[in-house]
Order: sequence, then C-alpha cells, then structure tokens
Amino acid sequence: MTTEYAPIPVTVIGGFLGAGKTTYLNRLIQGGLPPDVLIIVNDFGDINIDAALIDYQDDNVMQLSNGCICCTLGGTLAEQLAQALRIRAAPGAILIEASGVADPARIADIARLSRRLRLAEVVCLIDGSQARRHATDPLVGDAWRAQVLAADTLQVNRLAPGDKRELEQWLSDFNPRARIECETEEAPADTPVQPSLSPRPSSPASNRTASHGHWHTFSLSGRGSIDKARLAALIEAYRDVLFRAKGFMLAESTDDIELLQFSGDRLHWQPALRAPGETRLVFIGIAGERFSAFEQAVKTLLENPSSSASSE
Amino acid sequence: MTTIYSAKRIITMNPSQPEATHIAVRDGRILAVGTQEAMQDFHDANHDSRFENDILLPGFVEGHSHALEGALWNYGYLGYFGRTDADGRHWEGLRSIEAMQQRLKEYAATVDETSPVIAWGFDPVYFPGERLDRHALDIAVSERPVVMFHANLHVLTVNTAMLQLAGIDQVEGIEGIRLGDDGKPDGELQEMAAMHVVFDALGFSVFDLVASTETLKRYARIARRSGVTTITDLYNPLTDEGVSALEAVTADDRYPVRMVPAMAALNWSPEEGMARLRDCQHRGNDKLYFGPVKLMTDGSIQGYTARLKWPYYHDGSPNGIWNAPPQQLKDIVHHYHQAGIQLHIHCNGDESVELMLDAIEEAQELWPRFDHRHTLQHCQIMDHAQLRRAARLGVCLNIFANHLYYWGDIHRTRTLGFERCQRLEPLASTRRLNIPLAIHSDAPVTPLGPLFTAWCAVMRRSASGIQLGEQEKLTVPQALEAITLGAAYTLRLDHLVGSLEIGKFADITVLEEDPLTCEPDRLKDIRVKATVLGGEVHDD
Repeated sequence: MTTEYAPIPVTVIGGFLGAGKTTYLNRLIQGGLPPDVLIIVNDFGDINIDAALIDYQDDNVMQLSNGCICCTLGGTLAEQLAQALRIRAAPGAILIEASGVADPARIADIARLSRRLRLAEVVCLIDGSQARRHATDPLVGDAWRAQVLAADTLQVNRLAPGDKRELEQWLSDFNPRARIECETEEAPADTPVQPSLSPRPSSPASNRTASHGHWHTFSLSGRGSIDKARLAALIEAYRDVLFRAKGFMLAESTDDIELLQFSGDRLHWQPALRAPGETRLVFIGIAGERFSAFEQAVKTLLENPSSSASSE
Repeated sequence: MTTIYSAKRIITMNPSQPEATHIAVRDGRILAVGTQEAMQDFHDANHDSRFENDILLPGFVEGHSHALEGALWNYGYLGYFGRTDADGRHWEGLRSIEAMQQRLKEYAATVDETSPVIAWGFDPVYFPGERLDRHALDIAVSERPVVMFHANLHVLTVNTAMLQLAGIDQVEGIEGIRLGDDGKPDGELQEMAAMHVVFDALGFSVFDLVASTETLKRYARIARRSGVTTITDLYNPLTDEGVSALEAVTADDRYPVRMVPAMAALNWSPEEGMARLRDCQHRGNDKLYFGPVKLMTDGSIQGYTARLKWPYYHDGSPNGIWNAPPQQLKDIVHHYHQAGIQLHIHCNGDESVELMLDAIEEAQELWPRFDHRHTLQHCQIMDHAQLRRAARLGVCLNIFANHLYYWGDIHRTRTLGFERCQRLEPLASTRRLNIPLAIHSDAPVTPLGPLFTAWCAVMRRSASGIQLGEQEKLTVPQALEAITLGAAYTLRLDHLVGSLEIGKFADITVLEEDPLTCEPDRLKDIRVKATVLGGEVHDD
C-alpha cells in the first residue's frame, strides 16, 4: 500500500515433490542470503535446518540467527503472503517455495501485481532422471509442463552425465526463454555444503519419519527402484533393531513390483501385480542410533539406485 | 423428568420399528418410542401434545457443509436463487442484472460509509450473454469500493473504485485479471494473485471470520431453521482460536446443534496434524465431536478445476488442478489411515476418485482396518467400476445431490455432456451396491436444507427443469435415510443420532407435512416447525 520502500524482490521456487526444492533452499540459506529474507515454505519438516541456526520457532514461524524468517502459514498462498507481510512488513527479499503441483506463473503474478513486490526470478527444479516421465505423466504431466514453461531458470539435478546434452536441448525446446543449469551426478554441487545441512536431493523418494515412544517408524515412497539383494543384506545386518518391514517396491533391473514382508525373522518377497508402480515401504524398529543408521542406509539405497552399487 | 410427545406420525429410521406415534424423552435421551399404549408404563410422565398434528423424524444430519455459511451473512446476498438468512429472513433470488444492482445499492446504504461494500452469491453462469463488469457495479455503487464474491467464492467482481484502491486499474497481461474492450481490467478477478491484491488493499479477508463465536452461532441458527440437529464444519483448520470458539458455543445449553469439525489436512504436516487431533480429542463434549480429517484433492466441476478422466471436459476445456501433489495426497491418506483416523476426502472429478481409491486400497493392503468409514465427498461422476471398488473397500459416499438442481444444466451442456449426466450424483447405484450413503448441500456453496437436498435426490431435476438420470433417483424413504442415519453413519455418530430409538439423543425434527405421503415434488416445500436437541425444543 505504501510507496516509501523500494519494491521487495520475490523469487518463486517451483518443481515437483522431491525435485530438490528443499536442497536448493537449504543451499541458499547456507550460502549466505541477505539477512532479512522472508522465506515461505510448505512445511518446516521439509527444510531440515540445523538447530544451531534457529533462534526461535513456533508452529508457523522460524527465526534464523542470520535474521531470516521462515513461515509456514495456513490458508492459500495469497493469504499466507499477506499474513507473512504483517509479521515482517518490509523484508529485503521474499523466497516462496511453491507446492509441487502449483503453477509458479500464478504465484509470480502476485509479485507482478502488487505495488509492494517485484518479481525477481522463477526457478524450477527438475529431476533430470525423471523429466521425460514427468512430462507425460497422466496425473501430473500438465502441472509439470506448466512449471517448466513458467521458469526463468531451470535447475536440473540427478542427471547422468551422458544425458546432459540431450536433456538440455529437449528442455530448451520446451522453454527457449529459460536459463538451464545442469548438475550431473558426478559433480554434485557448485557450492560446497555440509552434508548435515544439505541432504542429497531426495528425489524420487519422499521420506516421512514418526516417533512412537521407544519404537521408531519410517517410510519410504517414490518411483525409485531398489536392489533386492542389497536391501536383504541391510535387513540382515540390522535384525537386532528391526522389528517389522512391509510394503511394495520396484525391484531394480526389472522394475517389477514386489511385495516385501519382514516379520518374525523371516524376509519374504513375492511378485505383485498392481498399478501404479511405486515403491512404498514401512519399517518399524527400536529407536536409537542403530536404527537411525539403518534408516539412513535404506534411504540411500532407494535414492541412489544406479550408482550406489559401485560406490560402496 | 420424563416427557412424552405425541405426534401424527413418527418416522424412526429404526428398522425394528419404522413408525410410531409417541416418543418418551428423559435426561436428553430417548426413553421409549412406540404406541400410546406402550407409553402407559411411564406413570409420572408429562404429556406434551404440541406436536400431535405433526410428523417427527430423527434430527437431520448435514454431513458436509462449512461454518463459512455463518460468516457470509455479514455481507449482502446477491444470489440467483432465493435463500434464507440466520434470522429467518428470506432473500428473493435475483433474476436480472438490474435486480442485482438494486439490491446492491440498498445494501450499500446499510453499510458504514467508511467501509467497503462486500457482497456474495452472484453467479454469472445464469446470465449468459450479459456483461457483468465493474461498470455494472459502478451503476449501483461508484463512490466507494465494492467487492462481490461469486457463488463459487473463487472469483470476484469489483467496481472501479476497488480497482483503483488496489492499484490494478491499469495492469495487463496477468492471468486472472480480465480485461475489457478498452484493454483495461474490467473488474472480474480470479485466482490468488488478484484476490491477494484485493485482500491486501482492504487489510482483511472474509475468510478470517470463520473462527468467531458469532459466526458459529449464526451457522447453527441457519442449520436449526432447516431442521438440522447435527452438522459438520468439514474443513476446519483447528487453530487454537477456532477450537476455543467451538468449545465456547457448544458449552451453551441453548446452542441448537451438535458440531463435528473435520480437521483440514493440508494445513498441517501429517505429524503436526496427528498432534493437533490428539490435543483436541479430550476437548469435545455432547455437542462437539473431534476426530475426522478432511482432505481436498481437486477443485469443482463447474469451475473447471475438478480432475476428470478421459475424455475430460465436454466442451474441451483443459483438465482441472490438484490441490497438492498426487503422491502427497496418497501419503496423507496412508498416514491417517495407519493412525486409525477417519478421512473425509473431497473428490469432485472421477480422476481424483480413482487416485483416492488407489490410496485407500494400498492403505488397506498395508494396514488392514475394519470399519474405517473413509468417506468420499461429492464424488459427482464416479463410474460404475469405481462404485463397485468403493463397495469392496468399505468406503462411504457423501454425494453432492444439490448439484443436480444448481448446476445440472451447466453439466449437461458444457462440462460433462449427456451420458455422464445420466450418472451425475450416482445415488441409486450407491444404494444398489449397499454403500453407506449420505447427501449434502456443501453450504455455503448451495443453501443448507436437507429436505431440499432430499428433493434433489428424488426428483433429479435441474433449475431449468430437465431430468438428469432417471435410473439414479432415490425413493423418498431412501432420501430421508440419507439425510439422517446415512449421514450420521459417515460421521461415526450413528450410535448416538440419526434414528429415533431407545438410548439415543433425543434429537428430533418436527415437520408440518408428511414426507412419505405428500407428492415427492413437495418435499422441498415442507415446513420445519421445530427441532428438539437433547430434549430441548427449539422453535424460535
């Protein structure tokens, strides 16, 4: 409403669930944002900010030691933004994490329209290994294409080096206007970051963790496949803390769906015929360092199905 | 203290005794239902004959509506269809732009001069070919800002003064801001960017008022007048403020309805959501029931935002939008299912129905649960394979019957075409498959009124009078069950309300005419004389 301040630059960060938005945000936060940035995210659980960096946190607002504020507020994004600007009237910049199916162009319109705001950039994160499949996905293909079209910058990750040139070409045919930045598997980050603050792009999996007293449960889901032999070895190695495992998984190399059951010391797979093909596994065990280590190891297995075999 | 009410007829929804003439009430509960003779066992009872010429039914249960209904009556009503407000005043439907302008002008005169004029309920869909833009509003009110919400609440029309106040009278090239022939914004605003500038300029949003006690009281009065004794607020964020307001109103003995708020799943991460529900669990009372979770998957069919399966929209419009990534929606279903929570899932289009059936099937394979009662809400054009699958998975359906009347013509000609309209709101098929069935108004999207909703389900007639899907008609008894016991079942309250039998709450709706013997076409015109909630008569 007021014209006393220069308009606040707004950056919209779009991309699918698991495309690496979180990692990207974390790198920005780590890599030195200006001190009074307002960050609007979908869920604090997504951003994994080191507790040492957090000055204050309640359900909706997280104040970082560098002066940045993270918000996750109820209502539509338009309402969230209005609310957030009541908390901090004139931040130096605004970063908005779009939901995985939002059209970032519509969010960018908010900045284009408001006299208090100015659109700086629309960034779209892309999982390079899944791009072609996402583009034609019957449920979300239209949303994916809209996200790519809306972007000023396409930030591609999880890309096998051999695919780089071809994918770049394909994307620039899609959106000739956008700047394309590729990050291949061999050379992960331009900015060195501490691993604890910046987990690998979690695509194509989304991970949820919940604690139940001294039991601990975690689940994995996504379109990634898993090497059965290596998973069996892990389960064997952590038998002492693993109580139960169950779910469906895409088996590596064949991409067939298998039903996994582990209980009473018995690990069992059987082929399953079901659509849509997704990995969805649940693990229940005794909370503690060992189970956390197991969780980490299993997640790596799903996240990094092709290169993990040689790296261990 | 025992009170015995006599009636012309009591329709009980109790299969062991479908009809009776007398009902005895003690301590807010039903002590007995039966004949006059059966009442002789209660010697010192009071006899109350005020309903002796009336028809008693179990109190109606509205399984899908929103407390926002109570907030909107703060503002001027400009709808095409007549509607009754919380004070019982009936507002005639506005059948021309001129009538709308006249009403807006009159309403503006009642609003404090320093405030913007806010109105709601207008639906341009009923005025094809007419131009509804800022000029049409300027004719009514030009000297101060006017904001008019369309019936769907997703589109606004504002006048020139509001465009200027928001500083968007000169912009172009923004989706959601429609331009007129002169290349300037013509006042119609859609989507969040445009909405944001308006709310930002006004300094408030009408949606802020939902948590207030005043809104909840008004909502209950509207429900009471239409014969409802149990109602939902099927997308409640369960904020601290909102929960306190719910506790405060339901603690009042004279509050005329039982309330079931369903937690808005997308407002919280699943972990936070579970913690929130746990915090609320012990805060309920006889009139307040926490527990269910509501998940929104897609938009609306008439707004072209529902996700449809091939061949998508009849007129070739692009497919709709998801409210969250499909995988996240499935994860949410799995999470709450595993935690033993009941989900109410908004699915308008058949593609979102498909996704949610997939999610529930997977959840059932991983964590089998009997009697989960996950309920698909709206499910307007489910196909028969999906219906059979829903039956197999133990899913309940709460179908948006009012759509047949309000948008049936639009669906027939623009959004869905002939064949899909034969199974628009597949009511009879749901019954044939023994799927638990409720029907609803989704107020404020359409007016609250279970008898009207039952009429829609029985007659299946659009506003222009065309018949949609003869084979999917409900019978009157089936429709009455859907607005009482059926809806109670989907709210997991069928052991407490929804039928008149011993031990249940004495929640009764009193009608002046018999729905079982009148012409079915008269269902919507039957007057509600009173309601009884826990033995307390409400007839103001």
